[in-house]
Amino acid sequence: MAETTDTTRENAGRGRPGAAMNASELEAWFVREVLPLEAALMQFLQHNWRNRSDIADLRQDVYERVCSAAQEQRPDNAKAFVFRTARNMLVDRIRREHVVPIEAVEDVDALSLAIDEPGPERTAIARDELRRLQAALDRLPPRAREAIVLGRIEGLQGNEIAARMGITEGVVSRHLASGISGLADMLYGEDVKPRRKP
Amino acid sequence: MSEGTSQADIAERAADWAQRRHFWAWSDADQAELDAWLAQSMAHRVAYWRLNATVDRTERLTALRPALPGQTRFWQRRGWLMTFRAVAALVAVAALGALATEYFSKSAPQVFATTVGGREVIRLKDGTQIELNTDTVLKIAADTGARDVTLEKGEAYFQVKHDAAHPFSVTVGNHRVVDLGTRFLVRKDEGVLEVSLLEGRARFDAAAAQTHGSSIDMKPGDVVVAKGGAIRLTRRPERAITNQLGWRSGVIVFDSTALANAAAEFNRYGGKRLVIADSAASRLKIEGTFQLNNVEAFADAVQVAFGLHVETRPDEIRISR
Repeated sequence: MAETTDTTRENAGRGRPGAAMNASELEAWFVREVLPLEAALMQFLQHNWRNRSDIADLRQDVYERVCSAAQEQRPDNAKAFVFRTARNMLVDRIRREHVVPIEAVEDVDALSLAIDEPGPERTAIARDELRRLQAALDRLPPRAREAIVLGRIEGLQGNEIAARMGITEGVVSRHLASGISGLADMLYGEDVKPRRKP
Repeated sequence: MSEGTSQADIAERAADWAQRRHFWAWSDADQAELDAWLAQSMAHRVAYWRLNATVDRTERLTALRPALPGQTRFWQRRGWLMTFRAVAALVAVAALGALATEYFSKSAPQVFATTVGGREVIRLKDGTQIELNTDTVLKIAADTGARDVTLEKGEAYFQVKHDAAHPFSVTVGNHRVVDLGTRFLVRKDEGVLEVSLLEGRARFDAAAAQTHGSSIDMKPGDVVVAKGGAIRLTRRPERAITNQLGWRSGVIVFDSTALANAAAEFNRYGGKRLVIADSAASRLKIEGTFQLNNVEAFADAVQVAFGLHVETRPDEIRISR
C-alpha cells in the first residue's frame, strides 16, 4: 500500500515544469493554463493574419502544437510558450504562402509583451462567471439557446428536449453542438469586460 | 497540423461528441468510441477538450435548476415558446438571484456556487482569498466591504488578510467564525459543522454562546465540531489538517480512514458512485493520496491492497469481499 501511496502522490500533483504529462494531466493543464489565454490569442491572430476566415483554424493549430510539445515537456510559462508558438507558426505560414508581408508580424513582440501584463480581468472572472454565462447564452441563436437552456437548467436529456421543442433528435443535436461551439467562442475567445456598477 | 481532415471538420466532430457526451444517455460503448476518436490525434483532443471545458462551465447553470415540479407542468401546457420564456425568466431570477436585486439594493449579497466536482477561487479586493470545494454555496455581503460571508453548504478554505478595524466573519447556520488574521477551513455537511484552524487566531461564536457573550478562541491545530446542539473542541496534528486541504490540488488524502468514509469523500465529487457493499469491508482502514476525480484508480488500489471484489457498472463501482 505504501508504494501505491507514493506513486499516486507523484501522479496526483499538478506536474512540474519540464516533466512529461499524461492525457488527463495535459487536458487539465490545457484547460487551466491555455484556454484562459484564448481571448488574447485571438486578438493576436487577428492582428497578424489578414484572412479572418482562417483564424479559428489557426487557433486550433496553435493549440495542437502547444499540446503536442507540452505532452513531452510541460512548459514553465504557458503564456509565453503559447504566444511564441503562435508567432513561429505565423512566420512559417507567411514564408510559405507569401500572403502577408513579413513586417506584419513585427508588432508580435510588442503585443506579446503587453499580453504578459496580468490583466485585472483574471480576478474578475470568478465574480462575473454567472453573468458571463447569462450574457453568452443570450447571444446564441434562439433555438440553440433554447436547447442548451432546457438541457442545462431544466436538466432534460436530448430526447426530452426534442419532445419539448417539437423537433427531431437530429436537429436537437445540431442545435446543441452549435450552441456549445458558440459558447466556447464567447466564453474563451472574447475579452472579458469588467462590469461596472451603475 | 493533422493531415487529411481540416480543423473545421474536426471542430464539428468535436462539438457533436461534446453534445452527445453531455446531453444524451451515455454508455461504455459510447465512451470507448469517443476514446478511440480522441486517440487518433492531438487535433481531435484539443478541439474536444475546449468544448468539454465549455460545457463544464455551464454546469454552474445546472446548480441553479429550480426545484418546482408543479410549475414545470404548467409550462408544458403552454408549448415551447412559453416554456422558453418561463425558463428564461427563471434563469434570470435564479441565475442572478441576489445578483439581480443588486440593481435595486446595493446591500444584496453576491452568491458563489460550485457544482458537484467543481472548485472555485474567489479573490477579494482586500487580498483575502476563498477557495470553494465541490457542491458549495457561499454568499458575500456587499455592504460590509465583503468582510461578512455566509457558507450555506459545502466546504471553503479561507486565507484572510487581517484588518483589525474590519474583522472578517464567516456565518454557518447559527454559528460564526471571526478571524483574527488566519487561514482556516470550514466544512458544512448534513447537520455537522467543522472549523479547522491552520494558522493565526480565530474566534468561534457558537449559536447558544452568542447571547451569553462566550465563545471559543481557536489556536492553530484546533478543530471545532458543531453537531446538533453540541460544540466540541479537539486538536488535530497540522499534517491531518493539511490533508483535509488536498482538494485544493485535486487530491484526496486518506490517513487510516475507514473505507466507508473514504467512499463518502469520493462521492462528494460526483463521478461514478462508490458503494461499499458489505460492512466488514467498510471498516477496513486505508491510507494514501488519490486524484479526487479518479475513483477508478482508487478502486484498483483497494482491490490490490485488500483483495476485495470490485464490480464496475455504468454509474457505480461496487466493492465487496
